[in-house]
Amino acid sequence: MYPHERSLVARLKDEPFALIGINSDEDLGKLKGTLKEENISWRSFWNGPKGTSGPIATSWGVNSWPTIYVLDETGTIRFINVREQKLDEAVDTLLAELKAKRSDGK
Amino acid sequence: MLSKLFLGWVSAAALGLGFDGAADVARIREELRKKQQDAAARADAALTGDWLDTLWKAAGEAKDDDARCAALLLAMQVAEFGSTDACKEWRGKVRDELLARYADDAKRMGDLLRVSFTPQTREAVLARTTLKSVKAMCLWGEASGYLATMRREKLGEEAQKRLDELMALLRGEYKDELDSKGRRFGDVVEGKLRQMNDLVVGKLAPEIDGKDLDDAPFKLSDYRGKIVVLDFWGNW
Repeated sequence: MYPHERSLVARLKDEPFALIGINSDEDLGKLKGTLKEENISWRSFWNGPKGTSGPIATSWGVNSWPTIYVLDETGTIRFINVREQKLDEAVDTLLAELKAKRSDGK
Repeated sequence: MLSKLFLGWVSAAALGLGFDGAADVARIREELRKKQQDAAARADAALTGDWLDTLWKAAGEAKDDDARCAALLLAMQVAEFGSTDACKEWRGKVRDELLARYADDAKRMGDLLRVSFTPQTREAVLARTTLKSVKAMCLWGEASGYLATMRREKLGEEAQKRLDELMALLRGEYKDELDSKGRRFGDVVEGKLRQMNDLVVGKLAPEIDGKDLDDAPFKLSDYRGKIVVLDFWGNW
C-alpha cells in the first residue's frame, strides 16, 4: 500500500488534494521508525493507544483495514474502499470536477 | 470438491448417458449421500485422529482451571472443525462441560464464543450465564451474523426485525458492557449503525477532531476545498 500512496501523494503534490490517514497503531514510538523508513509524509490522526479499537475507528464502524473513503471538496463521501488504479481514477475524476466547477465560476 | 464431482457425474448420467429411471436416480442419490458421509467421516478421522479423546482425558486430569480450559477449548475447536455426527456429539459434550464449570467466567465464555460461534453455542451460553457482559457478547455474536449476511444480500423481514431488536438492546440495556477488545457495545453499535446509514456515498463525512502523530490537534474540516482520501491504516 505505501508505495502506491507515496506515488499518489507525489503525483498530486501541486493539486488541491490531501491524503489523510487514521492510524491505528498502538505503539507510536515504533510507528515513528516506520514513518521514516517508508517515507510516509502525509498527515494522520492517531486512533489512540487502543489501536484498532480506538475511538475514531469505532465511531466510523471500521472493522477491516485498510478502509478508504474518498471525499470531494465539500467533504461529501464520493467513493468507498477503492484501491490501486481505481483509487487514482476516483481522485482524478473529483479533481477534474473541481477544476471544471472553478473555471465555471470565473 | 468431492461432492461437486459426484453431483456432476449424477447430472451428466441423468441428462444424457442412457438412464432414465426415476428409481435409478433415487438409488444413486442415496448411494451418493452414503459415500459423502463416509468420505466426511474418513476426512474427520484423518484430520483429528484421536485428538478429542486425548483432550478430554487431559481436561479430566488437569491440575487447575487454566489447564482444563485450555484442553476443553482446543477440543471445542477440533470438534467444530469436523462435520460428522460424532463431532457434533463432542461439541455438545465439551460445551456442556465448559458451561457447567465456567458459565459465569466472562473471559472463558468469551474464549468459548470465539472458537465456537454457532447459534447452538450462543443459545447455550445465553441460557446458562448470569453475567450481563457474557449475554452482551452472545447478542453481539448473533447481530454480527446478520450484519455479515447483509453484506451479501438483503435481510428477510424476520431477520431484519431481530437485528433491529438486538441493536436496540446493545445500545440500550447492554451499552456499557465491553466487547472482547474492551470497547463499549454501545459505541460499537452506534459506529456500525452510523457506518451503514450515514457513511455512504452522497452524504457529508462526519467531522474528525483529533491529534496527529506528533500530538498536534487538527480537524478533517481543515481540508475543505480539497479532494481528500481518508485512509484508515495501520502498520502491522
